[in-house]
Amino acid sequence: MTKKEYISSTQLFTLLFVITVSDIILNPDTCKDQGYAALVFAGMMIFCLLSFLTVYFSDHYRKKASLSSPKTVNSLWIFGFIYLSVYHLYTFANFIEKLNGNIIPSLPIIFLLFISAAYSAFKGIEATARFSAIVFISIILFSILYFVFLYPSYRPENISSFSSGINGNKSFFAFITLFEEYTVMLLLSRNTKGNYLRSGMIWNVLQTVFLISFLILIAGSLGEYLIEIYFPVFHASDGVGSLQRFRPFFVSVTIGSLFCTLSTEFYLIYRFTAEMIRDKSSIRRKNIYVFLAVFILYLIISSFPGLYDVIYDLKLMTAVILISVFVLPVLTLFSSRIRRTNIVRTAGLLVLLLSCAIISSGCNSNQLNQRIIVQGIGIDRNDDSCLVTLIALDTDSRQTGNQVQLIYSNGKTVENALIAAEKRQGKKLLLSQCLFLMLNKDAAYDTEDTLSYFIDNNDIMKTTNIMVSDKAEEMLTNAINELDYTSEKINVLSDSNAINQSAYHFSIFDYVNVKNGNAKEIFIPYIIEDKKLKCLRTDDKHCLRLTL
Amino acid sequence: MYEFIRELKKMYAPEKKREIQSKPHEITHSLKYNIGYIRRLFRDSPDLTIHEIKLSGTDAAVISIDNLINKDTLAFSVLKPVLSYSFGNDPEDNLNTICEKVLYTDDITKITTFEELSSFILSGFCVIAVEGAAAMLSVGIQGFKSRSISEPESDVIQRGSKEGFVEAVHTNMSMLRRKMKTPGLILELSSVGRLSGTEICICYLADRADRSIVKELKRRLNSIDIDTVLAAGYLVPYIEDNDGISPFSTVGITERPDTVCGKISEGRIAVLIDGVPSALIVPYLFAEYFQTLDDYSNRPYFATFTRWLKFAAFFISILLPGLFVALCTFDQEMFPSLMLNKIAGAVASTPLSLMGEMIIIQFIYEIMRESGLRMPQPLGYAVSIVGGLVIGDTAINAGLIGAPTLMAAAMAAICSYVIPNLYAPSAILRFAFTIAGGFFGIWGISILFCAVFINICSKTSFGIPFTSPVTPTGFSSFRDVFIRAGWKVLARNPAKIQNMPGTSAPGGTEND
Repeated sequence: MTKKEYISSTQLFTLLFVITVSDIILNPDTCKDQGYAALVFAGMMIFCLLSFLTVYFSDHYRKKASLSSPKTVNSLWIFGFIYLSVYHLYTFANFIEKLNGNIIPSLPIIFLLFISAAYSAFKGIEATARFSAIVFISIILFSILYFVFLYPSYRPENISSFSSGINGNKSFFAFITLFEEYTVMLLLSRNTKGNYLRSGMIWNVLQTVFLISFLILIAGSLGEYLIEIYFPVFHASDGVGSLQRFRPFFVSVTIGSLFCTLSTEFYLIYRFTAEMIRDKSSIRRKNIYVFLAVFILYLIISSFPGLYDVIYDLKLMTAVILISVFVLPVLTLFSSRIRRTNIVRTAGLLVLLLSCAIISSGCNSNQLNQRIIVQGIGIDRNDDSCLVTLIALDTDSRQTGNQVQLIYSNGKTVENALIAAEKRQGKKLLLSQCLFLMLNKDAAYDTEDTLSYFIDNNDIMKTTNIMVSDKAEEMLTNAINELDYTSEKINVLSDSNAINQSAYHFSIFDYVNVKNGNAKEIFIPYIIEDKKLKCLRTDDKHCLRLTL
Repeated sequence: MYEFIRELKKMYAPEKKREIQSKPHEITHSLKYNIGYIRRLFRDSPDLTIHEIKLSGTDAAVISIDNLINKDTLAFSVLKPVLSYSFGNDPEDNLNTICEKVLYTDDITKITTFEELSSFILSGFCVIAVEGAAAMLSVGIQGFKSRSISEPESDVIQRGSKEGFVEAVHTNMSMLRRKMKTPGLILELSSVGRLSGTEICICYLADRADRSIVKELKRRLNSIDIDTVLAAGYLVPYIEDNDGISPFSTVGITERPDTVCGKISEGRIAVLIDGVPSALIVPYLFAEYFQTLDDYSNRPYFATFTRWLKFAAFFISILLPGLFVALCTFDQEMFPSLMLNKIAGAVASTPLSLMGEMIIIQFIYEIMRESGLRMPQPLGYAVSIVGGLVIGDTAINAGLIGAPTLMAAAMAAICSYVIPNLYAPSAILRFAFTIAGGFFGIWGISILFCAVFINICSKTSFGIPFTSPVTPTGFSSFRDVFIRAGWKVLARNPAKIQNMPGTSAPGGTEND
């Protein structure tokens, strides 16, 4: 007899909470909806009422929710959870690309996660449930940090600009989340001991409070800005730029919660498969019809709008789904005629070979000396071209101290000029250390075009200061070569709040807020070179005043 | 999950051949035959001493192994009284008389088989054989040389006893008796090892230890099929739960008798091994790696502070090199500008990639550590000079390795010494996290972290979850995990510390 695994009701609902958090993190588009919050809350209340009445109080129903079901029902469950796991891996792949760009290839990471979650599933649901408690503690700590650093920039008036309403795609994703939670709750109920009702109510309240306060805090802090940008808060779009430093924590919480989700799904897939193999009952004709119906259903669902991306974007996963949904049930039909130990060994060998092939294909390296560490950017626009001056750290210099170099590049737009600089130097740009942008007047008057690249680029910090001068290239060249300025000293000219509270200060973040708000004018500090004193300073009499 | 695979394997696995156990060879009435058999059994070993005597005209012999016995005790407590007594003609009566009236010692056992005889002789007993008797008497007169009690080398504490275990198991047993003056302390002797016949002693408190755990431990010890037991680690794989490959052990090892007494009072069970100055403790939980006896001697606030220091040190020792490599390679924006400038300059001037550099530094460090352990003490100074000057200074000046990288590796190495028992897993995990961080960045580190913690969460120690009481959560047991509550709180219900089953456990106790 197989040893039965038991978890406590607290562990079960902690696991469900962690699964919900992973869905929220991976699908923030759906979670930016007030309608989503209402849907989740209402759905949870109704379902909790039904499930507690039936699952907790009805032994008969609990027996029905057990795994001693016919092979056809088991295969339907397998199909459902395979699809759910693919869905999560697909959204995770999108998530990595949006957060990291192309620095790390996503496929090896996904495969690593797949292997680790499969290993965890083999360890059993008890290990996953215990691990979910550790992830839960991390989520709480992360939420506290998030609240502490985001709350100061909270603006209640920004909530009104939050879009609302539900469309088909978002409803589907919301349904996926709910379906998974409730089915996992039902299926694991026979392995659960403890006060189901009490733990479920605590989970319900905790999840609702967490979800709604999370959404309100994001909406109130960043307003409309969030709608277009995918989780910009972790690229320092907040006013103080502190949250960017918490990216490793955010990544670990994401991975931990997704790990628990995938592990639970794989565990249930494996358990249903094991039940099907153990089930000695004969296969009747109607079972074959059901398998065919499942396959046809899969084909129909895959043509549904919105689901197409999920299934066909990940090319490898299409084959996995087809094999799992069609081949696996067929194999079980003939399971008694196949030596089972060979299947386990062969499957293990295939997984090993596949993992070696995939992991060895993604060894990117981005050593620091292979990147242009930009500390300041000067932009000079004229009618048909753009000259970009980069102040970059000279990592090849053998001298002690921070040596800088000036890199000049031309292009039709700012983006073209920066790409040309990368190609000429043979290194990728690292914009996260950029302290300031110095624009000439033409670039400043055409602020939207000039700054659009920097607003969309998640690498550059949104607290980067903006200043204006007559000619940025001349100003920066003189400052670095003749006046012996550093990037930090130039930056201080604009970031002069610390010195003079009434001085003008302008950053990318300020520009976006002004653009999204009701203000019509912006004031950018104007930098001039004082020939007498041989220094740079802001012009006390005026700054550049622009009307939007 | 593994149960299912084992089921499948059992269906097709061939049956194992059963070993035929031979019957024990019984002692005969003939003294000549017995002595001859013993000579052949010990292959005429030069240290086998057979002293033939006469007991009032009846032939007898005293058999022992030289250097294992105390010759003074043999002479005054065995030979003198035996030779000066007047015996009758019945050999069996003579044997009983020797046992009850003649000998001046108390450790006397009647043996009837040659297997028992060899076991006792090799344990420092002498055996008295009488012509015509189908039994012999073994008399305990051990006198082999053993090390005196000294301070343990690995379990060092500031306040507390400086006594550590020694190689002789009986001496260790006496040390426990001195610290736990209660008749409830049970010490049960048995032996393991086909060739070594090593004596082991199971120690527990009758009213605290869970009966089912004691029974299970005995079952596992009895099932050990090994030739020799020369170190504590030989028994660990047989005692541990079969949870698969893991860098962490669910069996604790300590060299301190006071630690053993503390664990026993919480309901745990200790195993003393003859010839090894360590004790094994089961069940052992992950949180216990971060506990030392000093925690209980200091004030609670300082003990809590050092407890958190240990948690931080463990995570720094396994994560810092990997995180450093990951952030420098994939997430450079995490660093402040000044720090990034320094790191970039260091990376630019070295020939290897950051991951390669980190792995090489760690590898060199492990070589130096291992050589420092093995080499003779007078040469140890040379190792420290070579390590400090050559690797620390010259390599950096030559541009072979970078100072920030060396700093991160050194910090991780120092942190790993805060918890010596976790040094082995942290050394391996450090390499793994460095490789994961170098290839996959923070994502790889996070995934590997999850996998390691799943491995920890899946382990059990005699049925008790290894991560208890953090998960499954036992709030009353938290008083000795993340904080160290005062003794007035800890003393309230010691069996509830860290979810150990005690007097209130469903399994019950020996006295139930």
